[in-house]
Amino acid sequence: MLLAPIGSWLVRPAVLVLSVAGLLAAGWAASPRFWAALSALAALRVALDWPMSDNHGYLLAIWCAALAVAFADPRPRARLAQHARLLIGLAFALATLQKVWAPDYLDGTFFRWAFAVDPRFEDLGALLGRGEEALERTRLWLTAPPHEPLPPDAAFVETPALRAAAHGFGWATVLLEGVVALAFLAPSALGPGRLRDAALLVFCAATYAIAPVAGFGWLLLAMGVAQCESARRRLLYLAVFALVVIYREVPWLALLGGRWP
Amino acid sequence: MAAMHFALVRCCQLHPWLGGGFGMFSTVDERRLLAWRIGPEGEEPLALPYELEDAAERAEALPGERRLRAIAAALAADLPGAQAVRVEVWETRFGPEMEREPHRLRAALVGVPPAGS
Repeated sequence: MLLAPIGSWLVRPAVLVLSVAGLLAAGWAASPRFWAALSALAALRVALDWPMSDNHGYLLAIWCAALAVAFADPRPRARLAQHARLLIGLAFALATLQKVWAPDYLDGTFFRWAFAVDPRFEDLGALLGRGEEALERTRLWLTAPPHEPLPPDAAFVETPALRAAAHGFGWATVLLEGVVALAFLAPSALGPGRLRDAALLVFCAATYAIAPVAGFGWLLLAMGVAQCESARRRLLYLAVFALVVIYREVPWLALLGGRWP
Repeated sequence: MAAMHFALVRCCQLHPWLGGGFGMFSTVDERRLLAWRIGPEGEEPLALPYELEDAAERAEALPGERRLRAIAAALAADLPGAQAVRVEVWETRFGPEMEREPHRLRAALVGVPPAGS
């Protein structure tokens, strides 16, 4: 909450002050009231932004509430791990189902559109052969207002590599998200349950390299580490947390494609 | 929360990316709010002023009748000579060859009050 502050001027100062206090004041970070207050602020942010808040805005509010409930429990660590598993599992199950149900996801349409329109995929598009002029023409095609004639330059231009990548990314994402959902919702003793940390770490290390939504990545990693039982794997969570910082700060895809920002 | 998301997507055309249903990056996100001035001489598109941009974004995300009417009323308040303002939310989907398939999600029509009223 300090690295990716949330909310407008109304909510943000209170969240920042509370977050700093949680780090500095002894005992605050284990206080149910502290987390209940942060949960209320995160929920207020979602309500004030309605309906524009990102999904991790909702997840953050629920996660803070889960922390409050866990710290009020006689066995906070076990309760927190249980909450984290359930929340990660449900969030990924919903994400997987939404992609399977959507009319334009599994056929590659979504990523063919996103590679052109979403600036976060610009470097990847360049790396896969779509130049600036072709990107401009494609954006004109995809985003022209529905009531106006299309500009003469507008055309959907893509390379075979981009088209293949759109299909590959779509299927890889839905499969990976499905595996994370299954691993976190399955009982610990069963096979998929043993894959939890590996699945979530691979998801975060791979997804946020391409789509650097750092705030969501850090939240998932914080929830992941809360349910992790191995000290060695907790270090891996820390490493991937740092990796997401690097993804956010270093345009590595642009550098890979020889485009110096 | 998820139940509310799915209900609002179904009944009220909430954008699938929003509302806490974890539908981000699952479908094309191409919605646009358009406004039209309707006068004796016909219809012409209206540019949205800066102060209505936030309301327009929210209306694109959840195009409820009340939101659209509020935007239309705000535009109608300063349109001498016009008879009405129509506000529409459109969504563009794409076919197998990325051909454009725009369709209107919702519209609202608000009359312009006569001058001096």
